[in-house]
Amino acid sequence: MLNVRWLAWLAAMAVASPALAQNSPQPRAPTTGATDEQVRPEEPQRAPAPIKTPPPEDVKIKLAPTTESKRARYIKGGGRPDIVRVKRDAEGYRLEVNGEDFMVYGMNWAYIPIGFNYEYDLWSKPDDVIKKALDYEFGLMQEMGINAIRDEFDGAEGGMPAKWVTYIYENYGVMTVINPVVGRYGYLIDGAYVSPTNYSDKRFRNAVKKDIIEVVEKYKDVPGVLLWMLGNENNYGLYWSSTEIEDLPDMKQGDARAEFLYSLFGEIVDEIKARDSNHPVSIANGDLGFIKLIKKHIPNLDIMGANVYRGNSMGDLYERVDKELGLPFFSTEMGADAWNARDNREDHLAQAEILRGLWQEIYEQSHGKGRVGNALGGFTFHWSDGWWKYKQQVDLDVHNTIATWSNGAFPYDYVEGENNVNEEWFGIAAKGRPDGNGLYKLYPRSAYYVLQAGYRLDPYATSTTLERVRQHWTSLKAEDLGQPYEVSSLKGMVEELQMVRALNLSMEFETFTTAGKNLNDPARVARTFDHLQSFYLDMQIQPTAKVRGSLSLNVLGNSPVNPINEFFFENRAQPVSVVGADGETVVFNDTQRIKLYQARFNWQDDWFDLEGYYRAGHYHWGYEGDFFMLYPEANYEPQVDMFNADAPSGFVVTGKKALKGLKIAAGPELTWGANPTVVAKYYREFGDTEFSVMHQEDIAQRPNAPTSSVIPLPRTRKTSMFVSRTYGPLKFEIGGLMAGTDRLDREFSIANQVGSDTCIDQTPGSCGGYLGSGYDILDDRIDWIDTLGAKAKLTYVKNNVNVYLQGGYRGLVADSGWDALTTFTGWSLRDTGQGNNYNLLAGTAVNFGSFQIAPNFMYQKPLEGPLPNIPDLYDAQTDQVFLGVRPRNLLEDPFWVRGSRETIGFELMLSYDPTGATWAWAWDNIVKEDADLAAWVNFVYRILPTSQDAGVGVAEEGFLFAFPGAPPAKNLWEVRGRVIMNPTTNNHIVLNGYGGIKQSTGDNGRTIKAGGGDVRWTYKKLNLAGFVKINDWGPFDFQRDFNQTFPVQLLGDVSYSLTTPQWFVRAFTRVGAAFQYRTLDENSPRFLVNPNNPNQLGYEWELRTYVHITL
Amino acid sequence: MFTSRCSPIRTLLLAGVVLTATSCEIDPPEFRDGVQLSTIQFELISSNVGVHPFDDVLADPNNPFVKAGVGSETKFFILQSSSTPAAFYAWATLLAVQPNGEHQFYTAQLMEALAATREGEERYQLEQLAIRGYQAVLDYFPNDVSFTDETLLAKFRVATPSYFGILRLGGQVQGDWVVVADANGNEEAVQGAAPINPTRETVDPATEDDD
Repeated sequence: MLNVRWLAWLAAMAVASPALAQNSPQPRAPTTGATDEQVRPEEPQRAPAPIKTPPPEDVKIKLAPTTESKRARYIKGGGRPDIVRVKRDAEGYRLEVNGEDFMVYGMNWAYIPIGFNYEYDLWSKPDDVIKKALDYEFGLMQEMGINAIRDEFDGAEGGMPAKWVTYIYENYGVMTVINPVVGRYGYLIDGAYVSPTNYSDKRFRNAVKKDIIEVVEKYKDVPGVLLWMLGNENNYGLYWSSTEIEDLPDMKQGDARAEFLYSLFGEIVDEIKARDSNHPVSIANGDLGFIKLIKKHIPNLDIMGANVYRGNSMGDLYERVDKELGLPFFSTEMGADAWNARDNREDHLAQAEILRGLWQEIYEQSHGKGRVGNALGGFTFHWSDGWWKYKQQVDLDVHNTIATWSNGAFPYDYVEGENNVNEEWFGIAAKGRPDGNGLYKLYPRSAYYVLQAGYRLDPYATSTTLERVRQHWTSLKAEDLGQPYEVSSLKGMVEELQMVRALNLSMEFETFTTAGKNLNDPARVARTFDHLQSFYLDMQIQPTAKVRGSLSLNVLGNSPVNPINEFFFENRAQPVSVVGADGETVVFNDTQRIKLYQARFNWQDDWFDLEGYYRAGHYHWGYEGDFFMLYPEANYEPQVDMFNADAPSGFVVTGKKALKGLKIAAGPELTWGANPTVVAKYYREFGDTEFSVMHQEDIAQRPNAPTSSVIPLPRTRKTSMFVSRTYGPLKFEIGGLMAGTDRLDREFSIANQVGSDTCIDQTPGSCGGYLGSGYDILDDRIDWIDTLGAKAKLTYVKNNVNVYLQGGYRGLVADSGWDALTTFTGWSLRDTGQGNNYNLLAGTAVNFGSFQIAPNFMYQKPLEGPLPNIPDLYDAQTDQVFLGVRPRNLLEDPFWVRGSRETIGFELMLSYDPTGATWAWAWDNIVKEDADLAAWVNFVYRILPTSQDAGVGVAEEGFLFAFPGAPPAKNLWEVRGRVIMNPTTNNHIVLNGYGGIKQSTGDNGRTIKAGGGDVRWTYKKLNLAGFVKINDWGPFDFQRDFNQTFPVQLLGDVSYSLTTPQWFVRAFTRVGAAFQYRTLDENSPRFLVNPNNPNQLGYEWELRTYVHITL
Repeated sequence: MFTSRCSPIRTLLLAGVVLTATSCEIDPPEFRDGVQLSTIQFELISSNVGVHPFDDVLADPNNPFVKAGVGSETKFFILQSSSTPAAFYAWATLLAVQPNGEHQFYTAQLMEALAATREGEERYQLEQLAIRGYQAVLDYFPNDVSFTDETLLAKFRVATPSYFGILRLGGQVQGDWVVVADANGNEEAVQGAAPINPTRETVDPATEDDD
């Protein structure tokens, strides 16, 4: 489907070319004039990001009377396919639909509510919701005079379903252009999404032809189809590499790729024409790029189409198309944004003026006016604003004003050397916020009214002469139309009010009823009842268009003391007892009733972007040169809430202009548990080569941590360099690291085994080595060579085979970050990034249609292994002390063996996903997977021939401590799997399962065999969730540290929501109840042995009811 | 000496990483052996050594116990050994990594013993450190105990000998500490004006000395 392809294209481009991940997916010709060269837009520049303010909803839009001309009314074909012809005579070209003239009053249209991006799929909604959306949107279009829309198809799926094509035609007279984009953003080939598209690849060419033929067969007889259109400025996406192309001189490479593109278009045109004689075929080119190749390769093209952004005139375009192609023309995209980047204000009048000029020219160049006569109409870009377009994945509810490319053809805000085109503001209608069903209102800008008035002139009437056309269109003044004054005035007032505004208010009311048996806390045995009231207020401030901040406050009523999971965000307000200096105990009852839950700010300057965050997540820089993950991802919810942590916290500065490529992050806790630090990176791309240099410097040592998974590492500094180069299907990456230089000269010990594995007798001489332990103990100091590390990675992607090989070496203290990058699939075995090891990883992911088989291998060994426990000894005879040896830990030693534990790992991942672009194994797939059925299973076996050094825990009193040892050597395995089902619309089921044997992160030697599964099922507004866990740890780190397990853990949660249930959303309006039950044994926390029945298990349960109200 | 840190595989890996590092030129590690207590010398390198919360002793090059402390039994063996410097470093190291009253008390006591072996200004400095160490017991660990035998049954509060240690060295106890006598006539240093058992008479140490 189209939406998921966008996602895959973005991700694939991010892998192949990280900087492009931020680029617009629809690059445009930068200025006037067409060339045969590829046009690659400038990397988007950030700019101010004010919230777009549509008129208040009580402002009635005064619509002009419906045009009486036949161009915008339903031209009935009697339920049969419409007959569309291109007619030519001495006065030019005309389009006819069912025998009547048809000027294409076209519109580029998409339905994406604020807060969503290209992944939003209107067609997956219930019919009544779709109908409401279409009735509103196309009612407005009909009033304006629009009679055609473009609808993009990617592959054999996607686009507007046939029944809705006919619906908008029959009810609103709007016809649909079926527009396969022919691999514009990548393509699904044999179950694998490949991007960028290689138009020379026979497998792709065959696949795309097959899919388009399928679309043609499906739509050719559908009433309401106007014509076929191929591509969307595909000549701007000719980036693939291959040996044949790379061997050509740079100047020739673009032409060579374009030959493949247009020859494919020519073949597809012929395929369509062989099957459908009722509808013409056009293309959507990027301006007039490669026009000679179009002439050469697409001889049967009916209509030349192009996305053109040349200001208020097409210049010589009509003449060139007529002269060089001998074809009629329509612009498949044209228009202007309604944001003035120079003055930082909305400028809908300038937008209207551009469109007025373009449409006057279309009329002038149409049939019978004495000019070229080949204009058939055009498609205005765009119907409504796209709030998602900048960055496309974040700030989706923010109307960004970042200009991402420069166009001198828009003189009203053009400044030489500056970007002036704002992608999110191209709508001729502003967009209102959606309701619970995703439906929203539109607020037509001046351009709407100008074009509405302009379209009243029948272009093909005998009285419509060139002079009449000019008189009509030049008389249209944007400032006089569309009640601009009233709306603008009201809008300005609202904007002022919105400088500080409440975005959201949510209220959570919950009750907790708990009880248990055989518990060591008598207060938890009897049935208890408690309750919670928690309120969130989300606010936004926007002092100027360039500065925006948001914050969320949490206010607590009562905080319950009886939940069986005792750590949660609201427990911060529970009474705290403090023993004073006089020995008296003082109880504080009202601690932290109000807490700043989350905050962000964003400042867009000409030279930099400044983003700040507090308890708000951020992503890593791995796709932009951070090869060693010195700036890791930080998305922790709900864990940070459990422990009331204030992380992540910091800011990021991104350079622009001469500072482009520079990024600096600093803050007290950039990632949870991190020391106060500064990270700087400089990254650039040069064609197929990437380069980066980074440095991280800890400023201070964080003294403590709330939980053991975020123990602060010793204060350190790290420097890295990275280079990558792509050679066709091969990509080679290599990097060097220097880290931990602040630990130079620190002492450490190493143990070299001299005895057998079972030799643990400490009698001197019995086993050899130090104190007869079987080990020689050697003492040493950190040297410079221990601070160095390196990593190299080779990836090969061709057709349905993906292979990688990776190796790394890290000196004793050369620590870096865990590799968070996705290589082909969702493997678990990865480079841990920890110092003191060398490693080798290799894997392949092979696609067979919708199936993927992906084996993976890892070998890792520490340079120096873990230390054993050897008690010290005093020899009175010689008056000598033999010092003891203990496992290292991160609190006391310069390095340790934990993540770098010797490992030989094997992994096999099997996936089935017929919509491969959404990747069934992705973390957010429980929301995004759109296949009827998708599934994966992953099996991992780890051979662990040694133990490891000691972990660090957090004592109940809050201080950190090192465990005395670690669990012994033991081979471990785990299997995980997921099944996602979408059997019907609004029926979504996710099943997860897991099992395996695990070891404690503390020193407990008991190996546990755990397993379980969970389910999430949403059906319309009903939401069911639950899990079963057998012999597993609880939800908190300390339970893993101390190996505290529960024989059985059960949860069942049912709720009914006001709108469609949403995962990953903090709160949405719903009412529900959850029942949690778990049994306890001697390995469980709170368990008390029943002296009368020592074998009796304990148990505890909790019934939670909740009502969440969110505005 | 050839060790794993200079192993061929590691050298090979490093050669690919560091252009200049084609051989292992770092100092080799040393085999660990017993520490001869009688050879350990004490040298005052810090004005806070042996006083909680300072951990200067961990940076003292004369301290052989930095790389690994001593165990709960060995520390008493060392305490009873003839080497006061060794005992001091052992207990001061324990104090630095595991602060408690017992570690602070014996560290101060050993510092007092070291002072007794010195003369002049140095002796005065060490005595002052011992006084501060005793005072740290009273300030930070007023209720901590130590044990007088391996059964862990016979214990004493380290605050009391610390209190008298300060007085013995001519210092002045800081804080509202007083000495009371229990039913057996044993003296006990306690905090606050009120004695442990109000029925018993409070002993003024100054008066006691006069007597």
